[in-house]
Amino acid sequence: MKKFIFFIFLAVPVLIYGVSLNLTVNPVFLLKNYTVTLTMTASPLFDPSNVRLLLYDYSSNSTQTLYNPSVSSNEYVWNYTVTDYSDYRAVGMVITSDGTYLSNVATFTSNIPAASVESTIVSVPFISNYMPSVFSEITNIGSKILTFTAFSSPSGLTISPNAGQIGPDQYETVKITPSGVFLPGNYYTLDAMISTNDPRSGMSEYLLSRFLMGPDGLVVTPVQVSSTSVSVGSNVEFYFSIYHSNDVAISYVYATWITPGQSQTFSLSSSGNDFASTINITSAGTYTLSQIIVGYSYKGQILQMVFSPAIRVSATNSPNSMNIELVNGTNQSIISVSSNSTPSVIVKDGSIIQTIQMIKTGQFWTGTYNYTNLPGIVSVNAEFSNAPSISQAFTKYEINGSTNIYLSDNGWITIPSNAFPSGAIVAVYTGTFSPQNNYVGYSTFNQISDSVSLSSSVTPIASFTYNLYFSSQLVNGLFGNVRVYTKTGQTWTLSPIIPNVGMEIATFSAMGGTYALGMTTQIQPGTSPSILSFYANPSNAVGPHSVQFFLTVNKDCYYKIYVYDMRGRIVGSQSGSVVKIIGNLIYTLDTSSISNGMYVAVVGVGSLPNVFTQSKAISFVVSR
Amino acid sequence: MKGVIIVLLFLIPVAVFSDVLDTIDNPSAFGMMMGGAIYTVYAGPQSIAYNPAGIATDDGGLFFSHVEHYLGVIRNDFLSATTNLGNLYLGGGFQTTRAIDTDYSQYRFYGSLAYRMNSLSIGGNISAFYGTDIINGFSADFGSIFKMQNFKFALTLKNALANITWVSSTVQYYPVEVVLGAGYENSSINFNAFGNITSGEYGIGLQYFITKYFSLCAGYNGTFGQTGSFSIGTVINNYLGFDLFISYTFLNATNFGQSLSPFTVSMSSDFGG
Repeated sequence: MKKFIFFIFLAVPVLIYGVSLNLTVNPVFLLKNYTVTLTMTASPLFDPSNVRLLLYDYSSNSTQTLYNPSVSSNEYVWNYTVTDYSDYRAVGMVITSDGTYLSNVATFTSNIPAASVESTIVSVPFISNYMPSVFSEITNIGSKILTFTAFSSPSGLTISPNAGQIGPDQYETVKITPSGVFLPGNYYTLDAMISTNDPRSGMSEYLLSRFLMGPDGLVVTPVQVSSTSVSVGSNVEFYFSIYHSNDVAISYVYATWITPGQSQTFSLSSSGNDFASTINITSAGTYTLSQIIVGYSYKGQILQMVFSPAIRVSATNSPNSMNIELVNGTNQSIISVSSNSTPSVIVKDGSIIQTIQMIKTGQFWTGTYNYTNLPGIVSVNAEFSNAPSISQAFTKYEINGSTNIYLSDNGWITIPSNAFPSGAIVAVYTGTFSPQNNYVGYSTFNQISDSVSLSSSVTPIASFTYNLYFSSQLVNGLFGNVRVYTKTGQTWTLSPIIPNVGMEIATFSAMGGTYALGMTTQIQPGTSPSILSFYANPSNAVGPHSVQFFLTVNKDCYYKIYVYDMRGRIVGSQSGSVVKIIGNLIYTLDTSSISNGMYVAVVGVGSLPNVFTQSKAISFVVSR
Repeated sequence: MKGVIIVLLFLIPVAVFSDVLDTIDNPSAFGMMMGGAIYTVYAGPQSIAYNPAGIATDDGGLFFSHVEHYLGVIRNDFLSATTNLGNLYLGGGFQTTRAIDTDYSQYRFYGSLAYRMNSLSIGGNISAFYGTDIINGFSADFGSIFKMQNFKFALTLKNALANITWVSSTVQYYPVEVVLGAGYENSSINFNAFGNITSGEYGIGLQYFITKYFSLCAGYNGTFGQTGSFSIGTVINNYLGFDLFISYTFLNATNFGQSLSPFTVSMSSDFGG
């Protein structure tokens, strides 16, 4: 009924010639509990007591009459606080002796969508490849569906979700991540914005987050590895670059790998902005590059940046193997691959990617690559049709003065400043020991260390200091038996260099070449040796395996091992000498070429070559 | 007949030393002391393991042999028996090979049939395999012995159609082995030789008859390109109703200071005779 009366008032306006009333409202869109100002302009001759405002509330379907406006000149002003979500219509009324006058109809509403955003400002003084995400909440504090669209201004931020709808009293969490390429040395200001359907004046766009980046800093490029699926025995290269402004100095870079059963931390040296190293894959399993730590100084502060690449490399056993030989005095590297099938070998040397022509020579496929005179890592990858790939790598260093070359096993080679009078390119290869027959007669190598191969483009005039590491468990306290072996062609021979052997480290000096640590026997004729244990691992070779034979004796001695099948045929043999340690690896039998079935390995030991005073036989099974 | 010849030609592989079936194929003491060269010999039930045509003899009955190979780590037992219906000879055998340090065993069952026609006899085996790592397996042997006065010749196709299904579900197939044998025999000596042109194994053996009941033997067995073994032994016939065979083999004795598989002992009882 009240609504009807209100419309009657509106529908039958009483117009008096010469009288004009104008009603305005501000704001038109507002939130509940906010105040709206209604202003009517009229002649000041009116008595304010006869001026009133009729206000209709759609949600409550009611009409209020407001009296006592504040008067200023010819303006009559009412302030009204909205108490619910509703649409409103208002009309001013003036009553005089001459009659009743009405203003125009003004409308306003609190029934709107309305956004509320907590904006954040993020300061990123150092630009890196890893910048944290920021989360921001958009809340709908209105009474209607709020729609929004997010965008980056300028581009460079990824916002998720980038559009959506939010119901009344609901909120949406938005993730903002820097995703652009930002070079150090510049300022960058990036805003994450949303555009909404909030009708309030100036409320259609909101700032979610503002990223203030630079100008100083450093950027780390994504970490890459040469291969993520390799054979045991491979050398996997990992590399990345760090760019930084001039007032930032890199103090150290560490990389940590989680390897089967342990973790390894590498200290990386740089070549310009590039950082790279290699890890030897010595057993099957998953190798994870878990962390890279960059230490740097800026304006006197020692700061640290930590990255988690979480790159995984899967390593599996393979009958194939690869070895690289660096030819001293040249840039030549000879690649040898042992495999039953033709390998496809590709070399990556900086920007050069080259397929190597491999020629079969005996059991090996060999090829040659002449590396460039630029520092960096040369990675060699061999693919096979029937086996996982093998990767090997060696590193080239530009030597000018005293240098420590860090090896992948935490060891290093110290090159004195007087080694090369005019600088040189030095190539270092840290291959893993291959338990094959290429060191017949020195079978006591027993893998107590990685081998280190070093060559240079010019002949050095001073020796370098090598540090080679070994497991004290394998040595079993016999430090006096540790010797340095040198490799000439495919043959390892005892080196005249005597290392200084300490706990798990042997230090020696040499001009260059290929070196490895092994153990030598000190066989005393007289008392006959005894076999303390002799076993095959695995004793049941299920699947494509090689079988390794381990021998423990009570004194250094000679040995000979024969492997027989059930028809009395010899399928493998080896002879050499063993030391008084637990578990000399005396022979590795490749089972890929023999039939399934039962086999027997017989070993004899003695104090003289080929005169054996004790023998022991063990059986083992090949079952593929 | 032409068809049989064609089939045999297909079964004969190229003469390369292939990856043959890895089982003990010289289980008897007589075979050991003769260097494995008893493919031309009518040796009764023990011929099942060599040449099935050799069971076509009236010296049938029961045979048992035991050997401890490779310093006693491998134990092999062979039990076989034959009987005859006129010129048709029937036989069966069982062989077990055990590794005492790895608790691993293999079993082989034989069924044999042979027919003798004056100077020629032919025979065949079928074998089934079982074991710790073996789900099942099968092979067939075909053999013949031909005598011409004092000379004798043998052709044996061993492990034809051989295949073994391993517990890994791998089915491995093996090439048929072609074994050629030749010999000379009179009242004083029995000289034999064989060559396995598939595996590269060979052997020679000489039996010297001192009396009707006692003979001495010596033999050499080896594989092409490898050092072989020298064996000596004795055969005592009709001792307490048994034939007794004892051999001693010098297997790689010079390398290890002792023979790896010295003694083999076999005995047979002539139930069929």
